[in-house]
Amino acid sequence: MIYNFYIFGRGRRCLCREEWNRIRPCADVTQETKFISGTLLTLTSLCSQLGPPGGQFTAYTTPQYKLHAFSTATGYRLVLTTDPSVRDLQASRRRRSGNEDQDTLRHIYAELFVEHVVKNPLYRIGEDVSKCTTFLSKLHSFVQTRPFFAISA
Amino acid sequence: MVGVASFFVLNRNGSLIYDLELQSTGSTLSSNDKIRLSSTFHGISAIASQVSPVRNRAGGAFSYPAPRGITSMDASTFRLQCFPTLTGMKFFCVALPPLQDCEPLLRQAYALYSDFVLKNPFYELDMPVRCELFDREMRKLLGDPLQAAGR
Repeated sequence: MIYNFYIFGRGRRCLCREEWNRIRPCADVTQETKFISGTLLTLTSLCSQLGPPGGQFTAYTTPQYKLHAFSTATGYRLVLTTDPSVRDLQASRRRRSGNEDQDTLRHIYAELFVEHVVKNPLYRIGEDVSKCTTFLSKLHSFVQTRPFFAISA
Repeated sequence: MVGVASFFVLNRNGSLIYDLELQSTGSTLSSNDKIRLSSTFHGISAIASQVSPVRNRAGGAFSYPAPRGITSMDASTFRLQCFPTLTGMKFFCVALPPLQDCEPLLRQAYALYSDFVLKNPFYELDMPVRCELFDREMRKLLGDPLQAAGR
């Protein structure tokens, strides 16, 4: 089950927020987005201090849901919330098995975001991506074809 | 053996009451850092359960209360696994790869806590744990290399 997708640019700005299968409607979208981006920042710093050096935050699990995060070298953060049974979404960095489901977030960044947003001449860096309709439609079709899109264990 | 690098216990207010370092991870944390980081984790865990996209899986007003908050956090080099107790305490550990499920270990740690700390007549609730027996049992449970060498 996939619930939400976010892209945060540099400086915590939310560039994109998408929603699927939400059973509990969101009470306050702005507030929730702020919470997510704040949580992400804090966890990133927590991970760099706790545990071995060089640790990068990748996911957290609660009994209700799981949040996967992927941060790029240029400072974008991609976040996907799913149900807790979904396995690590970007584990293929460690074991390159060629298994596509494993790097959903990496694929969204490299094949969709870079191709259809960053390379779009009308897009200005730091803007909302709502004008990039190709990106949004490709994102929707990509996410909706994931094997775990609407199945919950 | 499970590769547990460090182990922490938070009370229900989110302050650190016990910590144990078993393996060096390369980064040294002062006791102030440990207190700060672990209470940060407590706060983040509360926020994480608030921004949940789904309802709590509770079965009505008379159901058994389900613990909330982060149960595990993955980073590229380690995993933090947490066992939230029904009373609001948090038992968590930093596990190094090869990763294994640490939940049974944390549940056992909770059992040890109730046996050796809560039954200690000199222990005050919510205060830092200084019980020699608990310390010894925890080191035995988590397999401290110093203990194994027959110190």
